[in-house]
Amino acid sequence: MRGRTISKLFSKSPFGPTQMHLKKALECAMELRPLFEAALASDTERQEAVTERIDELEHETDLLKNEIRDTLPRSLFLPVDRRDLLELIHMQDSIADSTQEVAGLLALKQLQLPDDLKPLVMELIEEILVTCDMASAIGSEMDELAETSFGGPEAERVLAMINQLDDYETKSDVIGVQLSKALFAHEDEMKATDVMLWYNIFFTAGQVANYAERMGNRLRLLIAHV
Amino acid sequence: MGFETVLILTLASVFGFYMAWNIGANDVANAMGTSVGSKALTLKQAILVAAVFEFAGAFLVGSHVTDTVRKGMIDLSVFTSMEDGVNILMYGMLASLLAAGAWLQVATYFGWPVSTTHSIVGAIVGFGVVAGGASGVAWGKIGQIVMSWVASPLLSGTIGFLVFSGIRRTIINVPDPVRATKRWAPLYVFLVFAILTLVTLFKGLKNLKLDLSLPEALLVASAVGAVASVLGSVLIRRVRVGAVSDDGPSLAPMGGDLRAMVKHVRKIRSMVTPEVQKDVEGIQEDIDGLMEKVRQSEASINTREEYRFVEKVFAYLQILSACFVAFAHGANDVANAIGPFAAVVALARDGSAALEGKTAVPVWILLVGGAGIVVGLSMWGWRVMATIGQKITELTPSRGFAAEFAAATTIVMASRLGIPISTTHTLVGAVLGVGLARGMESLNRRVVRDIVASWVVTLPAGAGLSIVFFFVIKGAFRAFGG
Repeated sequence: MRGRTISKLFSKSPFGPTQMHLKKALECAMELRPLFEAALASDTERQEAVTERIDELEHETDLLKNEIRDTLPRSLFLPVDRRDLLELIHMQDSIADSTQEVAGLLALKQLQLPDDLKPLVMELIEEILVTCDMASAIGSEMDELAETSFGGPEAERVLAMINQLDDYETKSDVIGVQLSKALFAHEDEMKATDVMLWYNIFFTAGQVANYAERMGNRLRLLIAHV
Repeated sequence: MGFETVLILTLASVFGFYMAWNIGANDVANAMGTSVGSKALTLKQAILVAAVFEFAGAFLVGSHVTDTVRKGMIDLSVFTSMEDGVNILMYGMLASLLAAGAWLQVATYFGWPVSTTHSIVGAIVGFGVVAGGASGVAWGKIGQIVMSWVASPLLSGTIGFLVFSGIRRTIINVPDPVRATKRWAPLYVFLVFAILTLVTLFKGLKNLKLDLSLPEALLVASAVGAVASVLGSVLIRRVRVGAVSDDGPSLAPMGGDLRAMVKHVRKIRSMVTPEVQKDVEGIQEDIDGLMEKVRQSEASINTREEYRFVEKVFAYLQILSACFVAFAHGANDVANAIGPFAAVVALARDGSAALEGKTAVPVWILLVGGAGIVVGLSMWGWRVMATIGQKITELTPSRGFAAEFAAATTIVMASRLGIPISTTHTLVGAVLGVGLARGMESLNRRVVRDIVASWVVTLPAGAGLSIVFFFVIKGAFRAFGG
């Protein structure tokens, strides 16, 4: 039917699905808290259950990512740079990927951590999750941004939120360094492999916040590129 | 009137009505689909608006393009000096109508992107060349028309870009969109009414014996626009959106501190003895509850309500622009059906003299064309419109208004100049223009390829078919009359 010309002109907006994708990735990251609670308490059963849930959420995030990429052919005409959008989705995806990696590292072997480090670990996790929470607040602005064509006071508001996101991420970095120092202070009484494995786990957990921040900065570019 | 003449007139009426039906069945849906898609109009409202304004456009301003189609594209002197030229012209016009109608049917069946306008222009050129030789076609006029097919999407795209950029600057990207809407929306009302009135009145209403000169028309148009915009601004003030955030100051600014509190309380919980842990958990629950409220507040503070107001006002404005589009479409596209029909009627009545003088298009023919569009719309067009409306879900009224306004302005200008252009292509140009102003969330650029394909494919196809039908009809009448 000839009416197709006009209806073919409009394709599905990628911004709603992108928002969904971020939500799913952050939902995955939120499992870091139960994961570490279980791991630090050496509650293997619970840790396995949480790891399974993380794998599930990561998989769902991947599915959403593929779905969005499939609907973003080169012939699409978007109000933002297509590459910026793809990068943004990549960053979001890395949030879930890093979370899964942390769970994987924790499951490698039965690990013990000196008790005095545990509060600091939970503090790191809380700081990472605060960063994720901020990222989620930013993500919920996505549709609004599209509605205001990525400009005006709405864009400025989101930019301010991204600045705050950067601050939270910096704080989690600082705690990460503190934690690493405290960890290496125990190097004489721990196995070297355990120290390195813990170090790796803390670093990878920090990557979750790091990718949340980079997601924000991709969004910043997306807004800036007219 | 001989039997042959009666037969020719009957055929012309049937083919003309069939073309008009086709336009109503397919093209109107393209023109109005954006309104249904953005939910500015329900399907029923869209059909009603289309019926009324398509008819008005066809009846009031349709004669200009009709004149071009019936006698502007072929060089009449070649035919009037030809032996039996009047009959040949009549056969040719019949063949053109039949060819365009048949081609549209075929293309519709296969889902090819074609335009009614291009079909009829191709068909008339086709028969013009075989019947009158290369000199039988008014190539100057044809060149003008073909150039306008490139120019019209560009022009509507430019207007769409400017209008939406204007809306962005004045209404969307400002600190107080609600106040800005109240201030600026009347301007857009003014523009719609002023342009519509200007085009209709300036030498437009020949049928009503109401030809105003440019200054007169400008004056009346401004007056009509001014009255409409005053009325509009009064009405806009009465627009309300449900539950404008009156629930006190927003919780959102607390977000940062509260997030820190959540973190600290969790930390405390992991350090205290089990007896104290219960108390800390109580605090934690309270804070979590508050945090949930803050999240909701963060999600809804912004502007969300304000933009709902803006879009609601634009939904009303888009009703105006939809009327405008329907009017413009009727004015331009009715000619595709009744141009050749009117030519046949005039030739049958007055012979070759009919086309040389400045005779107006008979009113009853315009009525037939308008009626054909409305019948096609009510029988089939609503179905197409419903389909399009379901597919266009990402369009908001402010975008729809900008695109429709741009398209309608372009079409109505072309109509006044007597140039048959494609409504669909013009609308596509307008939507892309709004998209360039960062107004659209996602558009499919491949449609531009379809448009070019439509130019390349439809013209030769229409021409070829009309040549075949011309010889068939001529042969039939010769054998029959012979």
